[in-house]
Amino acid sequence: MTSRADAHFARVYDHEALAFGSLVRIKRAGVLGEEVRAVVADSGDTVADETGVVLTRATNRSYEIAAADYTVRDEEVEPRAGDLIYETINLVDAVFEVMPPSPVEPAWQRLESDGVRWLVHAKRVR
Amino acid sequence: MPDAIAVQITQAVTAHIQAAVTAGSLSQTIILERSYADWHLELAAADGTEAGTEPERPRVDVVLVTTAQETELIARRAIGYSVQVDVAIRQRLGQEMQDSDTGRVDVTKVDELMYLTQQINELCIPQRLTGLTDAVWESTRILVSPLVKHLRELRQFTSVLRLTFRMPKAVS
Repeated sequence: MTSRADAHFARVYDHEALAFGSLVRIKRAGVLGEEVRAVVADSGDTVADETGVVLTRATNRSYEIAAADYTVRDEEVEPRAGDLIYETINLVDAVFEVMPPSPVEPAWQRLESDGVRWLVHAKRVR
Repeated sequence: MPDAIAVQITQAVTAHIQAAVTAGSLSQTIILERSYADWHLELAAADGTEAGTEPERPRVDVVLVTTAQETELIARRAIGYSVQVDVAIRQRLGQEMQDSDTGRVDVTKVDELMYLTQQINELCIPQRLTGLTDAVWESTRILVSPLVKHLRELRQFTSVLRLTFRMPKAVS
């Protein structure tokens, strides 16, 4: 059962997502879901240093998504590594893959103990 | 205008690898490019044509190590150049190569790329370079193969070889 505090924050989150959120679609196992609202919590580039000569750059993005919106085939699911998040940024279609931001951090986590919404970390792959 | 010794060696390494590709001596076809590493490989570009699918070919970059060129006087009218060249082999692995529950990468594909790395490593040992026989191979160090950080964080295979060549040049 969702606590009163979490229910309260869920309402706040709904307002925040409506005002500032981006429309995203979640794809798993080839199934692309309906558009849902997510708040982009963080973004930035990381450059993975290999030997100091050749470099690979990954664009990170984190999404706050209501647990009720994270669905596959209309069924609420937990995020998992490999899920794809489709988002249009400045009229450009982009695809982000759910991946941990570092080896010691999870790819996703609950923002509240009751899991009203997820914080999902992803890296741009398209 | 003639090319600098360092450029000649880097071009020759690229041509040497390309000759092996053309002859079908490598276990996989590759995308080969010479550069000064003045750019970053975008993770998005390292992926295949469809997000989450395996790219068709590994990417091999031949890059001059710009901070490690040495010269020495080897005769009254000759100097020896020591030039280092990095060969980086990179390929982003498809989603099917990773266990979605444990995050572990399938070793089979990594093994294949390890073999490709070994093949490219052995290409230059101990032969003279195609088209630049004055350049003498001195050493090869496998700096990393594979880079575990990339396997964990990016699901990308990365290996880097550092080749060292010496080449004499007459001076007036």
